[in-house]
Amino acid sequence: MTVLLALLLQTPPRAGGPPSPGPVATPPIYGYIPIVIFFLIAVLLPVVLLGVSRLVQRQVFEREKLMPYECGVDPIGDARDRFSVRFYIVAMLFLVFDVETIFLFPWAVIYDRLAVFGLVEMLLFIGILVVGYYYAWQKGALEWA
Amino acid sequence: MQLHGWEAALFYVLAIMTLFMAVFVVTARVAVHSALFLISTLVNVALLFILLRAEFVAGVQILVYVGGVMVLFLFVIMLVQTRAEEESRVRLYTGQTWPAVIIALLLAGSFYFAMSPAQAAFRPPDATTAIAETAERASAGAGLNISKDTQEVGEQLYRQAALPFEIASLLLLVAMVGAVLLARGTKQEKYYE
Amino acid sequence: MQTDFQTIATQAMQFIMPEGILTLFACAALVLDVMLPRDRKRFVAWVSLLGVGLAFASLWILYTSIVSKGTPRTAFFDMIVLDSYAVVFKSIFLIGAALSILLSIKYLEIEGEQRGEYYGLILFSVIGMMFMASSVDLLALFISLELMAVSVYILVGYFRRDKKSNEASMKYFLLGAFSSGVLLYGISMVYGLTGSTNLAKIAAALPIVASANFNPFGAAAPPDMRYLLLMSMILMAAGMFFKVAAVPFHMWAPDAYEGAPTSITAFMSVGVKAASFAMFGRLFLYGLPDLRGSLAGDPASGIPSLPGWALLLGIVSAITIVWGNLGALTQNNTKRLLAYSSISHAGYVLLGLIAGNQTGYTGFVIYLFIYTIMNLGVFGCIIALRRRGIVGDRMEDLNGLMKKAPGLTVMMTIFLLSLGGIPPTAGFIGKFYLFAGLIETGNPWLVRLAILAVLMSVVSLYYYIRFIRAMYIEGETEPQPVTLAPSLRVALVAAAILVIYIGVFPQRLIDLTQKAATSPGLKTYSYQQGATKPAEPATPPPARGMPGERDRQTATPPR
Repeated sequence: MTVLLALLLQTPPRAGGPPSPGPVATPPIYGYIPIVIFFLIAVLLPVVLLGVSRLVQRQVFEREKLMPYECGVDPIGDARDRFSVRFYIVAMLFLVFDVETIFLFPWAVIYDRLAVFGLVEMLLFIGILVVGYYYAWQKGALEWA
Repeated sequence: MQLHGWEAALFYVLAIMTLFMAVFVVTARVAVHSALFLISTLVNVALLFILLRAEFVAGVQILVYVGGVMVLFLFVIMLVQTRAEEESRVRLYTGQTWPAVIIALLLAGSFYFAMSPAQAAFRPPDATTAIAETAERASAGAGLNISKDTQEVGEQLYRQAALPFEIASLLLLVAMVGAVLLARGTKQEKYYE
Repeated sequence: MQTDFQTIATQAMQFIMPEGILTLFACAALVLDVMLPRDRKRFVAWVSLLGVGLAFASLWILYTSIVSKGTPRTAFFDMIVLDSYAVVFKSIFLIGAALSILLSIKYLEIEGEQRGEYYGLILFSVIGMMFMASSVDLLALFISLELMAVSVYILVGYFRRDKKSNEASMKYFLLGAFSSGVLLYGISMVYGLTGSTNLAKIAAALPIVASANFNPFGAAAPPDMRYLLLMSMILMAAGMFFKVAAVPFHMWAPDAYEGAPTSITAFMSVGVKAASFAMFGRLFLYGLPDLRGSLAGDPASGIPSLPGWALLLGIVSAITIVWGNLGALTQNNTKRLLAYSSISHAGYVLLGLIAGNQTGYTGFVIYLFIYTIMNLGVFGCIIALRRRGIVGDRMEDLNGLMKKAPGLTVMMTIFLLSLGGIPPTAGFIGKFYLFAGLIETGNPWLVRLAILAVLMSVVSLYYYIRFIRAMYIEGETEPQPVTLAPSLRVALVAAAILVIYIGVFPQRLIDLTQKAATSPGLKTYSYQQGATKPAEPATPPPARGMPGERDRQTATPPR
């Protein structure tokens, strides 16, 4: 019961009294209840919305209605056409800088403790990546014309 | 560390889900379905990380893999014409299926064989220290609103592993150069010339 | 923290100066490439060459001022160590890179692909190799391995319009990524079992974890961790076998070597192989020395003893030598043939690790040094055959070369004889040390392995002589003349002189490599008379006499 209460209140139980001997269950992870609730709502909401609209809609299917909507114009060709390879470069560059951003998180958290060392370290890291960015830019990898 | 109670149940559910989703990734005929199953696998793994109290790694898993790598995968799927393969009855399984299954089973068997005598070394956690640790983590998080886990990762990464961290930046640079070098369109080449 | 920063800064200035210089020049190569006009791109090659030269000079200064005096030092929180082993390997990579750059200049011009990224990527992969040779931490080792591998994947597919090059790159990349995964699996298990990624700490923890009676928590039956340890060792070995192209994991090599630009084939056949062997040595000789012989069991309680990695490596190297040499016999494409030949050479180099004594380790290092020079020489000669309209990678392209280019033919002959291990050349010295190391052990199975290796290197002479026959005896089939570009000529002549010089006056190189082979932390292992034969699974295991069998030097690199 205390565990359930603690779960809802998101705090660990007070370590009052002597701990019982023998293997005790590992204390549960606290603080994830909002996420679980959020997740449940996220699943329920579309299910409810789609279900309700399915129940109340009039089912009329005709050719025009089933056509993909393309700004009111008749669609030209297949929607699943091959993309240009340029998208790949953009995605790749995005990924590289995504990883770089992730590296900034733990650095920022302990920035006060790392001091100058951390600053120089990160400057070097970003400096090397900036060379790559300059290279990609000059090579026209970001050019769309 | 051995799991007990609802954590154990959660672990087994997540582990089995991960395995099934991984199998679906390789057996799905439509490439986009494969990608979606892969997302599911990766999210499951992230949840397993949370179960291990590695919140930062779980976050990285979601941000980099589900956010970044999957976008890349979807782009690659859109680059190639997969429709022909989906619609025609291209054989998904070749003669190598059975050898592959047998080898995988042998590998699993040998892992079980290697793992089972070592079981005794995995002792249940000490209850008092575990509670204290959790309380400490919670209080550290409450005051600063920062996971202690992230700080630990930072300490390790930016102090102990400072050199590999810089080598990693070179690795990222090389990946960038490779993408630009190998995947430039003809138009961009003209622009550059 | 200020002191921390100062320590690191000093260490960076001192210990990783060569790598730092190379990083600067590699970035400069990328920037120069976008700034220079199309017809000036070869300038980047000379800049990169200057970078390699400066790195070599600073490595030399480092060697004379720090390494040659006193004990090796660790730096960056024990991530890297600076010892003779690292320095010798780094010089191998730098020599390999310099020769490869010289070989490439004219070749890329003919192919119309002269661009700066090429040289930048070569430098990046050399940085990865150099860190692989000096890292003593699994994390740093793995990241540097990836840096090298990713650069080389890109270089293999450098000819974007060539379908073969694309295919080679794809195959190499997919299999390489898979093998990295296998290696990482092994690494993660070792970390889990020993609680550290530092090789010295792993080596210190191994005797405890690997003993059959290891029982930390007082369980009823002691948990037998040896199976898990062996499992992780096998996974790590499998990953490394792939990188050096040893036989069950060699399938990528012929295709990748054939499809890649010839200059890159030359570079990867020596650089990647030497670097992977450097890492192999670090992992197995520094990190897992206690898994070499048999892992003692406990006969009293019926716990069997288990074979170690010497057995695994012995079997793999025997298969590799046989398979590589037999595979080479039937090839008609010279690049493919040399791919098989380089597979068999990987088998020879493994012999040095198996022997486990001073001679074996010297052979391990010296053979890689010599192999780098002679193999680059052979590929340089094949690059010289690339002319307008002629690819030059078929055996027939060598026909009648003696009449067209006598100098080139003589140099090619020297390199081929050296690869075959004929006495006046350097290749003989390398093979001599490898085989002598095995015979020195006195173990009958290892002696048999040495005899097999000698027999197979006789077989290898057959296909090396096929080249010589084509060059000297066959009539000309192609009227087009062969001309040597100045840079190529410099590289080839330098390599040929080195091969002959080392073959005739090997002492200086032997001294240098012996220092590398006696680096502290590199544990030697003597096979006791009548003790277990690591190359044979059926013999009864020794009792718990392990410490007596091993002539252990200082276990951990001192701070």
